[in-house]
Amino acid sequence: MLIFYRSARLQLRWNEEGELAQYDINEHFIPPCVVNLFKGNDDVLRKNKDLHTMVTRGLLKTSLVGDITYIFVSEKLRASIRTSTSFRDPIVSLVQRFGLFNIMLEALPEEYSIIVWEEVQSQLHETIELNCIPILRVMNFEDISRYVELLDGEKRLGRNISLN
Amino acid sequence: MIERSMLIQSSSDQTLLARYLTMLLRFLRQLLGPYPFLRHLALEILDHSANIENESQLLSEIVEIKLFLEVQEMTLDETLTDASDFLSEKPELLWGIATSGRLNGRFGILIGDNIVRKLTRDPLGSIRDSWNFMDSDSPSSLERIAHAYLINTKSIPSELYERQSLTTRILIAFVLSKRNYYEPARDILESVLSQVENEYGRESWEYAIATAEYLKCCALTWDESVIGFDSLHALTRGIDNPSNDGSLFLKIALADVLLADSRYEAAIEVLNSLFSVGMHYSSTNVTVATRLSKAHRRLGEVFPSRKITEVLLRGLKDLPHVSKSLQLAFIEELQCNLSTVDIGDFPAYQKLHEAMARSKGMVHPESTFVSDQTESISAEELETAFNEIVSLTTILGAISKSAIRSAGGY
Repeated sequence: MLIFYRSARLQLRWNEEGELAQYDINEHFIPPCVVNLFKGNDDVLRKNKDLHTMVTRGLLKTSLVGDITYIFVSEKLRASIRTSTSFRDPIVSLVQRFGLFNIMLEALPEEYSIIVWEEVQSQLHETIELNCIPILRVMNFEDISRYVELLDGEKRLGRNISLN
Repeated sequence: MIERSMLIQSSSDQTLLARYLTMLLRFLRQLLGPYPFLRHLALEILDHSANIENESQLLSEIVEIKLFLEVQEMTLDETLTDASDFLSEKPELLWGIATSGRLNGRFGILIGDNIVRKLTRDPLGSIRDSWNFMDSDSPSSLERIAHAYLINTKSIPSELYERQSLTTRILIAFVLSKRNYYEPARDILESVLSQVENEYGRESWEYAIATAEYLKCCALTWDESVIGFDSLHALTRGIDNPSNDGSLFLKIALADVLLADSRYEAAIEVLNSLFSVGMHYSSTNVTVATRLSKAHRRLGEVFPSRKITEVLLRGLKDLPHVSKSLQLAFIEELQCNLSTVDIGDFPAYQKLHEAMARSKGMVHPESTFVSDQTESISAEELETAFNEIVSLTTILGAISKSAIRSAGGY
């Protein structure tokens, strides 16, 4: 949850002069549905109708491990995502995968940008190690430029690839 | 919550690729410390970015990651005794440093961080001495934080932090505390605590962490006026909501201070109050169990006494669900207890002892995201040793059970 919230909000970063400044969210790179859900929204699982229905139907489960809320996606929902047409489309799928990865890029606070930066970083540590390090190990520049080209093309066509 | 003086910076003037690379490089830079193998990807991106360097934000990110890579190389190069030779061979490294308040600050923090990590070999000493503010009349906030890393006197000039934003002041205090300058850190924190409370609230992480650091500084400077048990309680009063992270954190910090001050009974009282409110957090249970066992042990209880086994069992139950560093801290405490046991009493102990010996040197109870774990052992080694320990928790359970039997059950 922490990850989603952080990825969809204004972030503080160090600017060129060496002072703290607010930055826009990189809305281009974060799946729009994540931004819409978590931007300025607290307790999203209860307040958002669709998500709440998913929770009551058992498709999503939340669990408190340590001090962090985790969301678990049921096997049924996972299977339906895997077989959905958009997931099989290689172009859409690439953009989606990068979109998920980018959520972590935005969620990690820059060093010394907030009082609790070390605490947030250590909370995200395991998630990054499990999800981002393997991707970064195999990623190369070609992947990145292909992704950005695709994204750029989609934006110009006015199409928005979302994660539904 | 956010200080008003901050400007909103728009990055819409950048191309999509430059924006993405800026974002990715920032992320990579932060991971390069713990995961040095990501260097290849960073270098590949740098190679390809040569023709888009006219993008200002990307450019500064590029210079910064280059800076990081060079400093990392200097630190890791074992033949290097004085980095100023390295710099004279690579003058291009210096061109970026003094061009902006941010880069100069970042460079100061990079070379200052090695002091805190207390490396045995320190080739950066000579560079450190020559570091200075870009414009000494109005240094940037990041440079001020860097200065706290590099300062070599206990009498911290108040110009360093006065009239700075709340975040900067607290971060400066944290850095000073890291450098063992507890007195100035304590003074800064004392002056900002009420402001943190106003801005973030009493139950916030920010308040908890600032107060915890303050308590630690007080304990380490033996400030009796503050670490009287009553005044400590006053600081933590009104935050007894057990479901609140900040309040838990603060109570644990309070217990730590009491432990450091050898006031074990008082620490046990605080810790037991955390146990008794019906905690559902695994991490809290393990944290509290580790400290409680330590307090009982210091009071002269010997494993397998009933009090200690009871506490350890509670921690053991939640052990699979908590973070690695917490697991290691708990295992270390367990090891301290087991070391007092006569091997003949427990057959499983021999096996445990062997595995512990194999994993020796990997227990860093205070490790964080930017820990120095990767310095002493590789990630793979850590993984292997750790898995051995995790599989041993079953054996530990058996030991505890037989310990309870020998202690007469309960």
